[in-house]
Amino acid sequence: MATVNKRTNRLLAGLGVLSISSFLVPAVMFMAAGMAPTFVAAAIDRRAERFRTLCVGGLNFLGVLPFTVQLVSDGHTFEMAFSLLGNTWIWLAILSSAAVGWAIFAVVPTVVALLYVQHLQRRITRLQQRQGRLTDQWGPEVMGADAPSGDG
Amino acid sequence: MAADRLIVNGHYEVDPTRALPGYDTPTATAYAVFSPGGKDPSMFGLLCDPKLPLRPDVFRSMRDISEPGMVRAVEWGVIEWPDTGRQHPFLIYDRPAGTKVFETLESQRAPFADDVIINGFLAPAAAALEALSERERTHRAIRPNNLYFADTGQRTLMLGEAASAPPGFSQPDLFEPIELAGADKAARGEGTLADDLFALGITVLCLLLGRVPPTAEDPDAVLLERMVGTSYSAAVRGNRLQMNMVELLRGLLSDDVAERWNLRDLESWIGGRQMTPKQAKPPVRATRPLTVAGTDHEIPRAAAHGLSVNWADAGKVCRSADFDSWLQRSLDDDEISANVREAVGPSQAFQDMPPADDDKLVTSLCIALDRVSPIRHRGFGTHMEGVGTALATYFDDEERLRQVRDVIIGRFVNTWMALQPRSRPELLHLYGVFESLPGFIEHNEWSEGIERCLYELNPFYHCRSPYLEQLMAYRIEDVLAGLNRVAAECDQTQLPIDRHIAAFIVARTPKIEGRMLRSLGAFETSRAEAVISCLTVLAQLQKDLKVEPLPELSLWFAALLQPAIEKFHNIKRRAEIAADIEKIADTGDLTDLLHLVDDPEALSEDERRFKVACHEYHLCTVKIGKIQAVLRSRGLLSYDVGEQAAAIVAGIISSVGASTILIWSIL
Repeated sequence: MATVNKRTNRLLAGLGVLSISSFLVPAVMFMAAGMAPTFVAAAIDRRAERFRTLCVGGLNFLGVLPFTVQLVSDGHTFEMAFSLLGNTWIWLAILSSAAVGWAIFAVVPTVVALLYVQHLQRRITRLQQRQGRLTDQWGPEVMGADAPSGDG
Repeated sequence: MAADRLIVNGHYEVDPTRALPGYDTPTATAYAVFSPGGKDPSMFGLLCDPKLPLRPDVFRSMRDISEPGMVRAVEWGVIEWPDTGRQHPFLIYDRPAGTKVFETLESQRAPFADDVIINGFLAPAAAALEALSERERTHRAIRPNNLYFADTGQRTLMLGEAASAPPGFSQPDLFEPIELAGADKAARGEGTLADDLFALGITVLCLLLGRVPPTAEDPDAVLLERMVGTSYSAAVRGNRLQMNMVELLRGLLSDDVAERWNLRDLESWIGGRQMTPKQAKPPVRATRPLTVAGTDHEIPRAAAHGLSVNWADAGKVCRSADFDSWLQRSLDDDEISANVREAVGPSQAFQDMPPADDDKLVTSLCIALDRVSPIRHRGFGTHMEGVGTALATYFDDEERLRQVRDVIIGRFVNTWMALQPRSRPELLHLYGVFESLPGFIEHNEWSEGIERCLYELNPFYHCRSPYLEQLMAYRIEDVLAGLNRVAAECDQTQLPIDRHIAAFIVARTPKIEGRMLRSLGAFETSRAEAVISCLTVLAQLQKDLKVEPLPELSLWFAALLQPAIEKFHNIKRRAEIAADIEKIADTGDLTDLLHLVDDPEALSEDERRFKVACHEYHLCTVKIGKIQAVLRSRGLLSYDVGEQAAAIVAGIISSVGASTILIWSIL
C-alpha cells in the first residue's frame, strides 16, 4: 500500500514539474545549460549524501539565478535565452560561482578537520589531567587493569 | 645502703659480691641478703637457674609456715644480675642459725644420737611437713645436704629450701620411692606426702650412719635391686641399727604406699608408741623368668624396668610368643593380664603389630606391667605430673624434647591414668589439660605447638620467647613490659609476638583465644592482617591489665604498620594516618594505635571511593582511546565531518545569496 502511494506521489510531482516547465521552457533551457558544472559534480560524486553536488550545485545555482531572473523579467523568449547563453561574461560568472563551490568543497573539510583535531587533542589533555589527579589521589592502583604492565 | 647492693621487690638488699656458699643448692647460688640498711645478712638469697621451672606455689606456702623444722621463705622476685647481664629468679630465705648438716652428699660426720634425730629433727620436720601437707604442697627436697642446724649447739635440725628447682630434681634416686626413682630427675612430679616421708626415712638413715649409704654405681642396677628386694634392704644393707630405728625405717621406707607410715604413724612413734613393723606384701613372681637382653626377670615390675632400659630389644621381646607365654602361663596374674589387655589389647593383636609401633607397644606394656611407676618411653621416664617440668627443663635439648613430645602425642597419660590402682583426684585437673595437648602438637598452629604444651603444663613458668631471653616474664604484664624494654634492640621488621609469646598469652589469658593469633603465622603473605591481629591482642591485654604506656613497643608497631596503612587507598589519608601513628606511638597507647588503622567504617568508605575512582579512570582511558582512534584517521575525519561542513557552508551561502537576489529583483 505504501509503495503504491509513493509511486502516485512521484507521478503527480513529475506531472506538476512538466506542466510548470511547459510555461518556462526558455528559462529551463537556460538553467539546464548553466547548471552543467553541477551535473559534472553529481556525476563524479560517489557519496550517498552528495555533499560535493550540494556544494557545487548551491553556488552554481547562485551564479545562474540572477540571469534566469533577468530572462524571466525581460520577456522570457528563446532569443533572449540564446543571447544570454552566448555571452562570455555570463558564462564566466556562472562558471566562477561553480568554481567557488568547488573551492569550498576543497578547503572547508581540511580547515574543519584541523580545528576538530585541535578540539579532540584538548579533550585528551583534559582527560589525561583528570587521570593524573586520580593517580595523585589514589596512587597507581587506581589504574587497575589500565595500568601499564611491568614488562613495559 | 652500700652502693653496690641490688634491691629485690623494692625492699631487700642483695650484695652480689658476697656469696654464701654454705647455703648453695645444686641448682642455685646463695648470696647475702640484708634488711634495709642492715649490716649483717639476716637472710640468704638463692640466685636460680633462669631456665629451670621453680615452685612459687611451694615458696608461698613456705612463707606462710613458721615451723622451726623448715627454713622460712621470705620473698621472691626477679633480680638483674650484673655478672650474667640478665634477670634471674631470686628466692630469699631467713638465714638458719647454724650451718648445713652435710655440705655435700659425699660428706661424712659423726652419727647423730637418737634423741637429736627424734626430737631435734623428726618432730619439727614432721610438723613442717604437716603444715605443707595442709596447704596441699610437698617438699620433695629432703636430703642430708639440704638440712641446716637450727641452733648453734647443733641439737636441732631444719629442712632446707624446696622451691629453687623442679620437685625431686636434686634428689639422688635412693631418696625417691621406686615409682619415682625410675623417672628422669626433671620429671618426677610434685608427688605426695608419702614421697616426702620416704625421703625423710632415708635422711634419718643418713643421720644414723653419719653418711649417705653407699650403693652400686649403676643407678639402674640399684633400682632393680630395690624392685627385686626392698628399698629398705637396698639402703640399710649390712648396717646394724637399733630396733626402734629399724621399726621407724621399715615404716617410712615401705615400697607399698598403702603400707608406708603416714604422719600420724610417725607422730605416734615419736610420741613413744611402739608400732608393729609392717611386713611388705611380697611381689607376684612368675614361675619362669622373662629374659630381656640376657637378664632374667621374674617380677613384672622388674620386667618392665628391664624392657625400659633395653629399648632396642624390647619391641622384639614383647611381640614374641615367649612373652605371651610368660604373661599368660608363667606369671598368671589376672590383674596384670587385664591391664595388658586394656593397654594394648589381646596378645594376638600386639604380636601382629608392625615393628614401627614398637615404641608405643613397649611403653604401654611397661605401664601395664608396672602401673604405679613412671611412663617410660625410649629411655625417658616421666611421672604424669613431671611432663611439664621435664618439658621446661629440656626445652633446649632436642633429643629430650622429642622424647617428651612423643610421650604427649602417644597419649600414654590416658593409659597410665586408666590403670591406676587408686583414684587420684589431685591429678584430674592435669588429666584434663593433657586431653588437649596432642591436638596442640598435631595442629601446630600459632598459639599451639609444643610451646603451648610448655605453658599449659607449667602455670608458673616464665615466657621463653627469644625476645625476652634475658628477662623473666612470669605474667602477661611482664611480657608487655619486657617487649617494650627490648623493642629498640629487636628486628622491627618482624612481629613482636613469636610462637612462644602467642602460646604464653593464650595459655595464661582465657579471654584471648588461639584463633585470634592464628593469622600471625601468615605474616609473610598477609602482613597487614597479621600486624592488626598482633596489635589487637596486645592492645586488649594492655587495656584489660591496665599496663602502663608502652612507647617503645608502639614505635615497633609504627614501623610495622605500613602494610596496614596501605589498606587505605587514598594517599592523603595514608599520610595523615602515618603522621597520627607517630604522634600516638609517643603516648604508648596500643588501643589508640589500633583504632587508627583498624577503622572498618573508614576503610569501607575508602574502598567505595577507590572503586568509583577506578571506574572514572577507566572511563577516561576508554574515551581517550576512542578519540585517539579518530585522530589516527584524519582522512576519514575530513571525509566525514569536513565535507558535511562544506555542504553546510555552501548551502548557507547559496540560500542567503538566492534569497537576496530574489528579494532584490522583486523590489
